[in-house]
Amino acid sequence: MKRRAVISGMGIVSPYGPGIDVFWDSISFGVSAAKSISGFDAKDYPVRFAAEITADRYNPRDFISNKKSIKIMSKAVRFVLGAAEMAVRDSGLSEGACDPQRFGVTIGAGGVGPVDTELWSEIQYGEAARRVQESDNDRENVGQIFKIVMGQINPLTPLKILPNMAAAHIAIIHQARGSNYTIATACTSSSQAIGEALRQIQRGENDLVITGGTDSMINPMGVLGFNMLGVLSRNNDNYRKASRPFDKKRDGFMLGEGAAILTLEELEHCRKRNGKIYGEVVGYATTSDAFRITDEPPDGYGIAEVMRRALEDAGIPPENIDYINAHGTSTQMNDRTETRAIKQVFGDCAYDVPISSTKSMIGHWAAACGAAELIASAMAMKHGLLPPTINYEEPDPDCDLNYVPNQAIPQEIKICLSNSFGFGGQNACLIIRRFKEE
Amino acid sequence: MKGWTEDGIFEALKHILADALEIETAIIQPDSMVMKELGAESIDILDIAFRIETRFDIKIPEQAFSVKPEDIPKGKSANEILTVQAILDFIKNRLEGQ
Repeated sequence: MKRRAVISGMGIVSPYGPGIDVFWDSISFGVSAAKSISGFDAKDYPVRFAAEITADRYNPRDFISNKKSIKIMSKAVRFVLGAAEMAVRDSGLSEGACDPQRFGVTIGAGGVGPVDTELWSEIQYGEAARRVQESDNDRENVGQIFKIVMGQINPLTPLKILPNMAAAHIAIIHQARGSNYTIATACTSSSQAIGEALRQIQRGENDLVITGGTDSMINPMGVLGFNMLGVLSRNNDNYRKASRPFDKKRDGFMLGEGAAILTLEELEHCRKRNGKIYGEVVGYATTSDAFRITDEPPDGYGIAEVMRRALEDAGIPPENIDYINAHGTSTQMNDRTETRAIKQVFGDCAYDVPISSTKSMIGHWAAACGAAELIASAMAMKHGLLPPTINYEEPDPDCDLNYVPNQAIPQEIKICLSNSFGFGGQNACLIIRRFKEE
Repeated sequence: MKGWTEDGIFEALKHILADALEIETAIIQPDSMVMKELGAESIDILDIAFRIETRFDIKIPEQAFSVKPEDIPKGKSANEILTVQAILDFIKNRLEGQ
């Protein structure tokens, strides 16, 4: 008999603060998480807002007991440990309830971790920067300047950069000694992580997997880099309206950051310990456009194919999907292509199925977006409420489906489909279903 | 010693250790074992060495505190027998050498 995987615990660190309740309350009321960037001085930047996690909203010390380890953690790792701690607590898992050897971790991570804000400001404003300003001939001093910068970097900095550190710290804290993976496929990372965790449970590799994703791109390099690629909204004047997926006037996405973690557990294992069940992960697929780095093929064949295969994996026909949590980035290209792909897969029922983009409120969490959106979907299913796409004002003839504009709508939801696509052309699709005995 | 007193060095070192290891300065004694008793792991020794270099303006080769090879018990690393006193002696030595 096929082993089934259920979501038995959830935790999130979001710009609204830590916890799934404040996250759900905020998105169900259509609250934008946008704010002026405060983590670094962005006043001369072309983009000066983001859905940022500020220090007054989240203190990693509240969640991490090994305090001395915090110094070697990037922002993304500090976020994920809070989310993992909350997910494990939420699952009610007691110590020893899972064989440590069959307790895995699979995390979607990546981003530009190397450019930690502290390190960047040292380079920008520290001794080396002063030396550059004082020098008549920058070129002659390059070697000297490099030496100064290197001398000011703490030797533990490389440990903040390694992408596998999120999964490593989670394993140490929760004594998860089973398989441990890090997936880095840009904005598809955490959906793939959850999908691969599903496969680990199905093939009997683990009984419980801490899975999801974390990312923090709200740093000088992240903001400048995405801006240079032309994918960020520059609506600095009215930033709460900046992220407007499927709206005709959308001009790019809003950066967000955070960590979203689930405990994915084998059904019988969860039942034996009387664990709670938010829902069952019943379908997963991943594909690659194999087209161009940041362009999607206009007909969205890779996206259509990933939804088709996930539906096939779940054994569910498209007309049974009650809600689609779209990737919905708020770029012209993504929202148009995703809409076309949904029409290809869903045919006539494309116009009936409610679709919404959580990114309209929380922004784009890059490697962590899929996990955050799966939590949004699971909460939507639990509460029977379709979360809205906010800032939807002017319909776009290319995007003519039901995007649950501006206000949440009460509706029973039994099955949800959640999409994630990344730069590089990797796509993932997850399907969750309200739990039922079979 | 470049304006440092012995007490001053010990006080400064206590603060470095307390910051690096997130412990109270009160528990740090000269004979404390840095790994076994103060909770350091290998990477913390690198961090402590870096902080000492910055605070005292001295160089620590390879971020390592010199321990006589004959003092290292079989199967252990130099770091495992490192005491606060050994670091203090190392710093004093470096400061006097300048």
